[in-house]
Amino acid sequence: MFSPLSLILVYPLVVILPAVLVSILGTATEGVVYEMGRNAALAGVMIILLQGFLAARFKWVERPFGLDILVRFHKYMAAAAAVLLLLHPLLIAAGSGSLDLLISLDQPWYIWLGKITLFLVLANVGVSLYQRKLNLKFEKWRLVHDILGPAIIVFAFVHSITVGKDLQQPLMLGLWSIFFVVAVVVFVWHRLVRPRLLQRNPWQVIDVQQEAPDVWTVKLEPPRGEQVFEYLPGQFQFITFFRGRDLPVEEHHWTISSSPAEKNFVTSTIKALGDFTSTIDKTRAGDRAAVQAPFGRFSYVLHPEERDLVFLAGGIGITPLMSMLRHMRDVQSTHRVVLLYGNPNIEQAVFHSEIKEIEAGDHPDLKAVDVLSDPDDDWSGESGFIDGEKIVRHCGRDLSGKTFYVCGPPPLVAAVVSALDELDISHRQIRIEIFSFLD
Amino acid sequence: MRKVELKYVTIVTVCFIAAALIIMAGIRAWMTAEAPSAAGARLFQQKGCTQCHFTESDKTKVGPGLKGLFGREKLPESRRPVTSENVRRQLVDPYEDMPVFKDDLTEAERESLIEYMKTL
Repeated sequence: MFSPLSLILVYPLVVILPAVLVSILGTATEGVVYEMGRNAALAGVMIILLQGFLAARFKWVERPFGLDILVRFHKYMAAAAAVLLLLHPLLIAAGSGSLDLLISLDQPWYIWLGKITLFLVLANVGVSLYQRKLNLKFEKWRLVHDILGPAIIVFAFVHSITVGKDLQQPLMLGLWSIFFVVAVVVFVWHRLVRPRLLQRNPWQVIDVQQEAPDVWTVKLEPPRGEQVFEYLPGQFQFITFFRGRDLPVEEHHWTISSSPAEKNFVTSTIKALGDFTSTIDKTRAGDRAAVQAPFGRFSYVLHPEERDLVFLAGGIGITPLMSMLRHMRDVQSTHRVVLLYGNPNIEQAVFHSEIKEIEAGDHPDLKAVDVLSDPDDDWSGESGFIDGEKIVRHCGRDLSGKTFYVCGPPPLVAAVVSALDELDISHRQIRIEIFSFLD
Repeated sequence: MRKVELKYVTIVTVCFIAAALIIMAGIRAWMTAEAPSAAGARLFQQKGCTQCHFTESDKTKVGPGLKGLFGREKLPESRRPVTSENVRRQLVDPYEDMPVFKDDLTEAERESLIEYMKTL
């Protein structure tokens, strides 16, 4: 297994490798500005060729960081690649002392291919960064991404080897071709081959249980003769349901809400929040599902030295914390946990009765507090939202030895982290699940 | 790793890449730099100018010989004054039958060729 630091260090070195090699092996120069333009293209394309590794859910890349962090890095680097590729023609034109490259229509086909590639890169980055503002649904965005991504890789490769004199040297051409082939193989594996292999070995829905209004728990059984994969409480899984009955077939990721101590099934507890999840209640026992898991690093198991935990959850954000509480119960953990769970009213508090049962038991040492923003008149518990005052009231003034796990809708997470900041809680004491890849 | 730490890692990574690209461009320019007249001499061969022009004589081969070109008052065919600008004009918009060297050459390459012709 690779350490996070080694991967962080290797990544930029791989990105600059072609630029370093052509700089050493090159036999002529057009001047510093022109060379910067050439290097910008080499690094920009390398970033694009490496994008697949960040997003393809390879365990050896994902485990040290968590998939949410990797997907964000994938986004940031896409923007960096777009800037580098935008600088490429500008610097080349400036370095050659002629604006013809930028403004003349009389250009060879491979220059036009480069311009088209740049346009596709900017379009791909634009629709990905502004998916929400463009009101583009996830599946449509993914289709666009799946078409533009490979097109950019192929076009960039053809443009680079036809126009780039340095890349026509045998050594550079060989190396460049290897990078290109690997990028194509990663894409084909991630988007075409692996989904079909998972579909061929499907899991089966064995139960669908309503937990609260608009919230259902789907219980899945592994393929015959197989056990549930090893996972940590708090991790998530990708599920594609094959339900027939004209119901949509889309891949989505949901937290695993069951305890890893259960070896015969996993559950995900899903709230009807969008077009797809609003059909989750139509899922039936016997439906098939492709499952890819586990992912994520939001788990108390990764930090065994931390014994005093504070769980701050809102709405469906309880699911990873519920998996942790169930696991603590099942392994007879002696952790001390305070749970502040925010909901509009008690009917919408998912797992309410099971949390009370765990609180009544000895493992973990749990204190569960419901915080209701719109309670019934007879509610005598905490009202309003989770804030610094409530955290101090239930966790005590000395918060120095505690670790805070925060999960919920983005506004709740932002408000809670802000409250923790005001309480002088170090960022190292706060663990956040960034569950949506879009935020 | 948290979102904040990720931003720092991304900023450091991008800055490292950008710095490396600039430094490597400088190194290449420094390692492969040659005098403009030397670059012009190389281009004069590469672009096939020698097929039509002598450089060691002012006699006509296909086009006029270029020896001592910048010591003359007029360009051999167009009879324009011998200046860098008029030689550049002859390359991009030639008088009579000489091939056009507009798209084949960058401005820097044209400059190198002119510097080379000054040495003849």
